[in-house]
Amino acid sequence: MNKKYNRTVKIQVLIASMAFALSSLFQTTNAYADEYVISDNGAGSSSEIQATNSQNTNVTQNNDAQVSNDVDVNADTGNNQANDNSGNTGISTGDVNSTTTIDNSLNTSVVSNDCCLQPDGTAAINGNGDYSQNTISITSRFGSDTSITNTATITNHIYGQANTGRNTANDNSGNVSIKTGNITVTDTIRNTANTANVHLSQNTNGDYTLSISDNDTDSENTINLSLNNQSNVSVNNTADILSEIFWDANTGNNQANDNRGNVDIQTGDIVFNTTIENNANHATVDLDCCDPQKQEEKPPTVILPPPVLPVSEPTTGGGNGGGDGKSDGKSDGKGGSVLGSTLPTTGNNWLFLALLGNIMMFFFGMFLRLRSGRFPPFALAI
Amino acid sequence: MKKTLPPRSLLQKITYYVGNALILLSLFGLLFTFYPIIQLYLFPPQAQTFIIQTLEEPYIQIDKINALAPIIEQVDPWNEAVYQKALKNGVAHAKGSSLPGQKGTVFLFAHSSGSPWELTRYNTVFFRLSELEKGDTIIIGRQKKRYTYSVTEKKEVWPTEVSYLKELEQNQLIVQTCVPIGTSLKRLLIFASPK
Repeated sequence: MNKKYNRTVKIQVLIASMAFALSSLFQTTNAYADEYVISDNGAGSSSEIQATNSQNTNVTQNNDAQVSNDVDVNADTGNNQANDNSGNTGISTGDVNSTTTIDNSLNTSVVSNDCCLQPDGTAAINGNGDYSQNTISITSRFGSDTSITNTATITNHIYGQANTGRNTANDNSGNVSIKTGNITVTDTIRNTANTANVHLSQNTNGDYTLSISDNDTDSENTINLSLNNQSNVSVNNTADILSEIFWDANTGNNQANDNRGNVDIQTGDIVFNTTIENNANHATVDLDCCDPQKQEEKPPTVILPPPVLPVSEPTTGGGNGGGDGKSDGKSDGKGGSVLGSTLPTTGNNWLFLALLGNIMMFFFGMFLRLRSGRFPPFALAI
Repeated sequence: MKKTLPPRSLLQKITYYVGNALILLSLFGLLFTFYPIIQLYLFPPQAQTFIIQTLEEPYIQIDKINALAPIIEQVDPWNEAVYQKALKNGVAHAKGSSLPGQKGTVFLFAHSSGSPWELTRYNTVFFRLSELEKGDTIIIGRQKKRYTYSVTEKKEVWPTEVSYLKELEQNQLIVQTCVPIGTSLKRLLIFASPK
């Protein structure tokens, strides 16, 4: 009657909600240099150039993944019966080893762009006549808006039942021996959710060469140059993780009744190894500057969401019967400890107080007996 | 001539019965309170039965005082809530001290007296610990091995003398309980060295 039960369950979930934006966010609009020139206009002339070069790139990634894992484990090597035998009787049940692993990996966003320098430009007002009015206005704006939203909902349940006990040996004429096997449970749940990696190379305007020269007297010459660079990154990660493990393990509840010989019952151990790891909501934003000489420019605004703590339910494991119950749950948190200043207290004043109370009660009872008018012989003797 | 007692009043009847009830209650209370101690002398735990039932469980056995109990290992001696819970199930091994077979001091502690209403067989396991003398034997069983110690010294210390629980380099066994019996006034320490 010796059976062994080994079970290994492994679940791997890799949600394909990965979004990659590896292409360049910024495109080069001009492959050649911009050149703005007002030149050789006559006296009293009025010339104006207004140029706007604006480029904004929006990237939006939304990932929403929901995973639910339910694992049921049922192992039984017990429930054996050996009754009414004439000789010696022995029941030995096998061990139960159960290993369950659940790996979940959800929602990975990657946004990346290559460095793309904008070409240099030229603005010049040259050789214009008396009393001429010449104006060049250049506005150049490069920007990007990156928005990533990852939402993950993970639910894991492991329900297990393991039994090596509940054996019966009754009414045997010889010796009876019942030995139940060990139960070893190893459950591992790993949840990885919501990873956002953003790598942006900050595109900047090229160098501009500005020139006002050789214009006649009383001419008014103006060059306005406005250059802007801005990148906004927003990452919102939300993870809702619930991991629960329920076990009912038993190595005991054995019966040996009405046997004529000796009875020996040995129950096996119950060992739990439980690991729940949650790794959720990681955002990495990396900004490079394409031209090291322009690092003094104002850095772009980076918006990061507040971290969302993963939710993990405590492990519940239980064992009954005559075996040892052991639970090995791993967690990152550490509880505080308080060092005492006295040796352990291993006595109790209640024994002394109970003695005192009983003696007082006894004498008070005697007192009432005497007051009642009847004097029992033993009371008189006192 | 036969002398008759005068009839008793209602008050006298009440005091008569209440007095009887209190006497009986006090006798029952004394029996209930001291039954674990009486049991130690009249019905000491049987080693053979116990060892069979707890084959691989660590235990302590002191034949001279009829002490036989499982050892609960790695119990925090600085957290009263934790060790009081463990003491209901046996003798506590102080977390941080060595285990039998290892180098260093093994520190064990258990009740000499407990609350009468706590119906556990281990709240008086070290009730007679003070009877141990130099040369007496203490046996510890662990993982199917027996470790034998010989008592070398006996001390009564104040509860604040925690150095015995912090300086654990010496290769020895220390067994602790509270004295006088029925109080937690002082600590009795039994020192023993491996044989």
